[in-house]
Amino acid sequence: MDIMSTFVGLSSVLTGFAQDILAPRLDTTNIKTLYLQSWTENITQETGDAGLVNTILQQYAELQAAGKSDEEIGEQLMNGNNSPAFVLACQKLIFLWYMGAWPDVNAQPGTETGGFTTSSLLSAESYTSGLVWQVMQAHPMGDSNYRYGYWAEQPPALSDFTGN
Amino acid sequence: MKNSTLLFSALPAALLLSACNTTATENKQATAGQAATTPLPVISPVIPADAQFHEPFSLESLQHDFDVFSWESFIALNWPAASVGVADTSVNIGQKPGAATVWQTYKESRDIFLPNGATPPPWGKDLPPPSVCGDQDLPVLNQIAKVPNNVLDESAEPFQTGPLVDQNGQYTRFEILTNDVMFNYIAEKNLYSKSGQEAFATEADFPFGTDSQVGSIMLKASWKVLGKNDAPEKFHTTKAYVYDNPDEHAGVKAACKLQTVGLVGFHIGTKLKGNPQWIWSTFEHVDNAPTQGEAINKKHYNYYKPDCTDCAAVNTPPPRPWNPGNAYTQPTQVMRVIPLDKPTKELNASYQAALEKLVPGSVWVNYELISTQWPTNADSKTDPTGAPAPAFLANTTLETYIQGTVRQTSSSCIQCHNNATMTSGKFSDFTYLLQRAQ
Amino acid sequence: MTNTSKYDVVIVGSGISGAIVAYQLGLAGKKVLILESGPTVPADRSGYMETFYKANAKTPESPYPPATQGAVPSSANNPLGLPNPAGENIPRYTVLQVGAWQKKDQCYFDYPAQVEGIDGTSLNANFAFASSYERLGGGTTWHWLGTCLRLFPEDFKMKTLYGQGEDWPGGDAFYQSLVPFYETAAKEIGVSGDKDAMEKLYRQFYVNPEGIYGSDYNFPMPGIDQTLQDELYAGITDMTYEGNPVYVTPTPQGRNSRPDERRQCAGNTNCIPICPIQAKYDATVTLARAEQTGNVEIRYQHVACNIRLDDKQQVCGIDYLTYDQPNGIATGSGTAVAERYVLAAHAIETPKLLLMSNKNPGFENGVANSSDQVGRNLMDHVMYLGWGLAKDPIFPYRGPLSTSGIESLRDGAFRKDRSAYRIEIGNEGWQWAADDPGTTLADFVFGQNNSQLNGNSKNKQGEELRFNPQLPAFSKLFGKQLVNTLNGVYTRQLRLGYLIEQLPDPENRVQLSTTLKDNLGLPRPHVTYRLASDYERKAFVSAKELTTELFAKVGATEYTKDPGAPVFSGKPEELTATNFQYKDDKGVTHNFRFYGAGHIVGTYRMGDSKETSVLNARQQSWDHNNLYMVGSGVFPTIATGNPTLTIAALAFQAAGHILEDLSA
Ligand SMILES: Cc1cc2nc3c(=O)[nH]c(=O)nc-3n(C[C@H](O)[C@H](O)[C@H](O)COP(=O)(O)OP(=O)(O)OC[C@H]3O[C@@H](n4cnc5c(N)ncnc54)[C@H](O)[C@@H]3O)c2cc1C
Ligand code: SF4
Repeated sequence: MDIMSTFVGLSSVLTGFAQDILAPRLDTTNIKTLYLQSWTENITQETGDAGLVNTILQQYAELQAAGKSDEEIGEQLMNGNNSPAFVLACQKLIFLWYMGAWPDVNAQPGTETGGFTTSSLLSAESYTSGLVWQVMQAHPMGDSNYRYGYWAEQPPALSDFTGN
Repeated sequence: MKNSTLLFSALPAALLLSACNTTATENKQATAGQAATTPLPVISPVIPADAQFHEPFSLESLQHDFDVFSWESFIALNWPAASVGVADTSVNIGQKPGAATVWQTYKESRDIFLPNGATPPPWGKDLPPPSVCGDQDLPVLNQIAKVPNNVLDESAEPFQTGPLVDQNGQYTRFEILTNDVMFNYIAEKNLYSKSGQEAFATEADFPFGTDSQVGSIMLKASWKVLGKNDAPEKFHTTKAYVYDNPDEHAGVKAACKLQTVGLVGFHIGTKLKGNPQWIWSTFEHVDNAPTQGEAINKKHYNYYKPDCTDCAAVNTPPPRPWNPGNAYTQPTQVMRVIPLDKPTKELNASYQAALEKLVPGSVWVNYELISTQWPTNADSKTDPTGAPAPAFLANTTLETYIQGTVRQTSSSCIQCHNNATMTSGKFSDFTYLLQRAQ
Repeated sequence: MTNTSKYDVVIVGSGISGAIVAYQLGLAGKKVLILESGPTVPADRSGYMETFYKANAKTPESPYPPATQGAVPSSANNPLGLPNPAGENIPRYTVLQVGAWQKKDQCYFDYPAQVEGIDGTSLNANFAFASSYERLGGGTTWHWLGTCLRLFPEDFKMKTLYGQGEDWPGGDAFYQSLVPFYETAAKEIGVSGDKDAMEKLYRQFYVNPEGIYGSDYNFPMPGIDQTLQDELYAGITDMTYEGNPVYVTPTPQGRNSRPDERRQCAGNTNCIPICPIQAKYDATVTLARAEQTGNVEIRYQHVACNIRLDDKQQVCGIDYLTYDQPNGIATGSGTAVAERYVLAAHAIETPKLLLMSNKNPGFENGVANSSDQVGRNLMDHVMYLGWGLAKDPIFPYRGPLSTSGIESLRDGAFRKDRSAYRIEIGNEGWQWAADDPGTTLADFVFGQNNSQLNGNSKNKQGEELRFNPQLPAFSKLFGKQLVNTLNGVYTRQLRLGYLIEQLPDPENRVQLSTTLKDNLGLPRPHVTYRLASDYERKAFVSAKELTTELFAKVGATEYTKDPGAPVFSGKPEELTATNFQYKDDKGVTHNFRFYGAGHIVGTYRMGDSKETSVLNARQQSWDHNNLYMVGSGVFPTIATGNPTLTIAALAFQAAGHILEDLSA
């Protein structure tokens, strides 16, 4: 499996979206490449740990090769014995896929809100690629491919959006 | 699995990324190489019913197959006509310069959507030209039975984005036509009138093609009036009533002139089996405009003046008031924004070579495919546009002012036509034609 | 000085009001020059669209030049990189500046220092103005929503009926004279509307249906399909509130329900800030029609900066400055000359221009300002937002941003006591209310609780707000559980917005800053803005109460967040901008935050008398009879409907007056 397939597999487990939604076989936007690059660069820069991204990918690949289900892999990655930096890097990847933006997390444990998060969009395309619009069964604000009056009807099923 | 894991854990991430890119480029080169070594394409008067796909499928391979389909369609549609909708197989394309082509015998929009929603004349018959054109008959251009009443009554690009003015200060003219399959559907379902559309309970759904039968085809052509500095021998030409339509803009006075016009742009929309979003092919005259970021190496362009200091800004329409009847309007300075793909350029070269070989000096070598837009995920339940590839496609003569790569606003055939509806507000199946009903 | 006297009329501003006047005059064969401070209308809106897509804060102004964010590198003091208005040729007030209202290097408006020794209920507290506008070809309708409601006759006689605010000059008669222009305006905008629904409303408010919607009147296009959320409220049939029935009315709106020269609405859910396909009307449509007459010339990047008077106190020219680059130097200047002049620069820039024109003998306080009313009575619909989660999915974020509202509470005996309001049913989930979808996403990914869905929050009714009580507080989700949780939240989000009528207050005003200037050296607006009577504050209490009632009625859980008490002193970043309090009869203190509706009104009002108003009922200056002003600045009160249909109707009416005067 090449790094991109591993990345897409990992992303699928974390985001809850099927691989062929994240990276369709005929991929006209190819947003995955931008995300892998941005995730790698940002995590490396923020943690100073040039190996972290590969550690995560490798752990995913191993779990996957061991025949674990997506749920088991997710549990292992996020709630296993991984370091806080490992888990945070995974969470940031989730956020990136959903918003198309890189998050800046200000954790304030113990407060009523637990802190806050700001973020910065990667590109116009990453904005319109955000999974957040899919998970709400809608479309990016400002970029609808639906037709007049669709809003008076029920949307397609959630599973059509997530591919799961 | 274990191997690859080891492999990438040993490499820094950045390197891995570039490795990834390399694979993609290699693929492309392979496709390109292939195209260069294949023999010249076959030139045929038969409109292809479907595209022929070759495994293994990839974005690049499918694009190539659709592009071939586009060229085949273009050639068959531009074949000299023997009778309405029928190619004259006794000649080759390019052999009868100025002869009406197959598509020119199709049904023109002004012959479908008549005042008060009147019933259009049947297939093969059209209306007389507007009365200001006088009762002069079009000179007999060729031997075919039906001489089309070529009336060019449009001078505006869609959604009031502006007219396109050539280097002689003349407005470019447009026409939209349908083939028999599409026209018959409109006629049978009474979709040529507002009241017919109001009574139509469902969305429009034009017939698909099958493996062997051609389905619905719509065409849009742009023509320039040939004049000073234009070389008529480089164009497919026709004589047409160039009509200034007072309904188009406030202040336009009806006027009409019989003129020789040259084909500069050509859209083909085909409802291919399995592709409810249609397949969109667009062609242009090779001298229309230079491409941003590429060499400006021609002395003469139809819509661009090289080394000009006092020209209008690039891709900006003339100021209003717009009036095709003006004796002279400042020319539009046009550039192509999205360059043609390398494989498309190579395909163009091979078709042009084949056309030249078939009929030396053929005008058709002066036309090129810009690209073909097709849905990569035609059956998507969440995206009615089916994720088109390429995401953006514009013809510099038909979408001059909305070329670019911004979703929803830049020209994308499928994304835009996906919003087309009838006068009743119901979906019109990717054509803006039906909203012309009265 | 350029000699430009080949014009009959000079108009300042190319928004809907200026464009309509220009179009009408152009149609009548008059030669018109429009001076427009901003850049030209682009042939392709892709540039604006791309800026929007890339903007981190998707505010109403985000697509438009000059850049509202990311203009300078971000810093702790300026996280979004707001530009410095001192370096801009056509600065404007943006909603991002509301929070930065105390930062003079980020906020275009100059504000007075906060009054000392006040508390949250003090009526003399200063606030930030909460609404914005654009300075570019076509003006502010680029990012209007498109709501096209007529006002009611009652709105025109507030003083007579309720002893509050002002009557419009002529009251009822003024209303009747406006009716035909309302029809013309609806046609120009191409309003989609449902006639039956409007007649129901008009019957309730005793607007004779025969007189208003004659049998042969109908909207230019059928009503826009309503959203699934509207259906939820449409189920309310048996409710009354303070004597009025409560029911939902589909909103007449300036977006195509049918295709014409523009496309049919495709529900891009982006009417504010920008409709990508121009299914929504904006003033560039009318501007194009004006230019198509062949009699209207528009000069962009021409900033009107002074009005000249001759010795007969007639306007004899409008000076302007030109520039090439938004931050560059002035590249030229000139004077536009015509027989008649029209100011249409909207309700901040028009009074600013009048006040800047202070070199004319006898008018040292500004042109047209013998009444001292120029710049006063600045109003907005102050907005209350209430939000919640529906029991079942209603699928917001799909379709136009609002397709219905509750109009049935726009007038009643309560108006003696508190402001009336209309309620807009928002279709953008909690985007406006809570900065979603980002907030909820971050909460469930990083284990935070800013949405109140993932912690221990309770609403004011004491209900637990954690979305999934099975999950611990501050859950960090991924995979399917994240998908299902987010889907459950987003598809249920409701938002109500109350457009609360603000009374005219002469102390709410636009003046010239004595210290701050823009890049052309023109003074920036100094804005004093207060909620100086309990009249509006009581309406907030009413809105709060009604929200709770409405949500209970439809089985929704309320998530409206207590904005906290205002902070009036401290470091600039700690100061609140629009927070206030109200102590009700029971002694309960309510915390509120008001939002802007984008309705800037009242700064050059019409009236019956030269002493108390800037314009007569013909929208003509009392002081200079070849000067007219259009736009919502002319409104004596803000009334209960969104202003622009009325602006348009008044502009048609004014154009008629100008034509009369030109031929006299
Ligand atoms: C977010 C938002 C949503 C809205 N939604 C609605 C709605 O749904 N319904 C409704 O009725 N209203 C709505 N409005 C209000 C509506 O947008 C305004 O009422 C309307 O656009 C005002 O039109 P205007 O022509 O008077 O002014 P503008 O459109 O603001 O035009 C004024 C013009 O004057 C120009 N100008 C300014 N200064 C100068 C100068 N010195 N020299 C030359 N030119 C100058 C400006 O560049 C501008 O083009 C909304 C507003 C906002 C902000
Ligand atoms: S909903 Fe979309 S298409 Fe319709 S008016 Fe608003 S932005 Fe335009």
